[in-house]
Amino acid sequence: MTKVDIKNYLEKIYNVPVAAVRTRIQYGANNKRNHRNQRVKKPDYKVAYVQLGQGQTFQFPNLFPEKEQDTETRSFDDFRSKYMEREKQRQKGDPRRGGVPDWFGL
Amino acid sequence: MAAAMGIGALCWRFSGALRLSGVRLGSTAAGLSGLTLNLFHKNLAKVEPLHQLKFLHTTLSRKGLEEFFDDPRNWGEKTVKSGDAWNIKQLRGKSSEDLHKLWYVLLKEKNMLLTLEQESKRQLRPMPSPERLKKVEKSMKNIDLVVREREIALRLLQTGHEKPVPGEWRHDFLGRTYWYSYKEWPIPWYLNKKYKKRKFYYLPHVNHFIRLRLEKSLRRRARRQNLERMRQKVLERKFPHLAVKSQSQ
Repeated sequence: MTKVDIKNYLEKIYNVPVAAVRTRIQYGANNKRNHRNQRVKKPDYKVAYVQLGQGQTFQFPNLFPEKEQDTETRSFDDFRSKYMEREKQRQKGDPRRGGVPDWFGL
Repeated sequence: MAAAMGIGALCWRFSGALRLSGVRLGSTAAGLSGLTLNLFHKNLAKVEPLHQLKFLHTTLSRKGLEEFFDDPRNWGEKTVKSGDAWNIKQLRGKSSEDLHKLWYVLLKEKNMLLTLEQESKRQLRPMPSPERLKKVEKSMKNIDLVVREREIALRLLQTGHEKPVPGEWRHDFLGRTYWYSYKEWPIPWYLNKKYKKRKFYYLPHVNHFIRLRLEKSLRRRARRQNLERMRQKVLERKFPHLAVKSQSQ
């Protein structure tokens, strides 16, 4: 999509007044290697910087706001924390011997 | 319930698009653009068809960039309910204008879902209900198929040809048969050096490899059919009551 294409797209389909559009192509890195030591490329993509017209401003919203957890997730979190505590207790050594692990000594 | 809600959401966006198209026509006819004039035209457009469209009573979202995001009530949810994709049979019954509007509704929905996907990657969170993207893509593909069918039918009636570009079946140098569509050239083929280098025939030594290719395809087909039959048998053994039902029907 060229600059003109993006301007027309936003104006006609989204009814957004556009003052200017600048584009650049972001090179995707080719440094990662897979299990066969072949280089794996991340795809290149075009980035467009759109300046809105008619004094409009835009703030990117927070699409993942913190919401109240429902009873199911809360009970699951409780269960998970209790399980982790039990596991840690099991791994600790005998408190009468000073918390030293069991495979020491007699 | 989910299907109804999904269809309801689609209908809402659909009617929104109807209004949008009406408004844009009005503003371009006047030759002026601007939010204030758009509002004025919107009010005018609402007054006329009220007696025709009793059940449509929606408001357009004024700022276009809001359409890149979902309903604010759905932000932060783990799952968002959505209806099924549009079936080809359902789309065949719609008029071309309806399909045109539906295409743009689906396009905006797809843009919204893609922004949500990218944002979830940036925030390292799971995207809520990613199957919506697949449904939208499937619907758009179905619309494309229906439009293609209608084009072919129209062309057949008007010209008698199925394809827009004439062509023929040809062989390549490996013995494979494929559909070659004619291209437009400014010179005849016997003066075209690049075209004369292309070989649309195969030499006799290739017959052996054609035979091998044929055998391979036959083996693959036999394997596929065998696999299907074995799977059917396993199912019949697992659910014998269902097998008896199909035989009786």
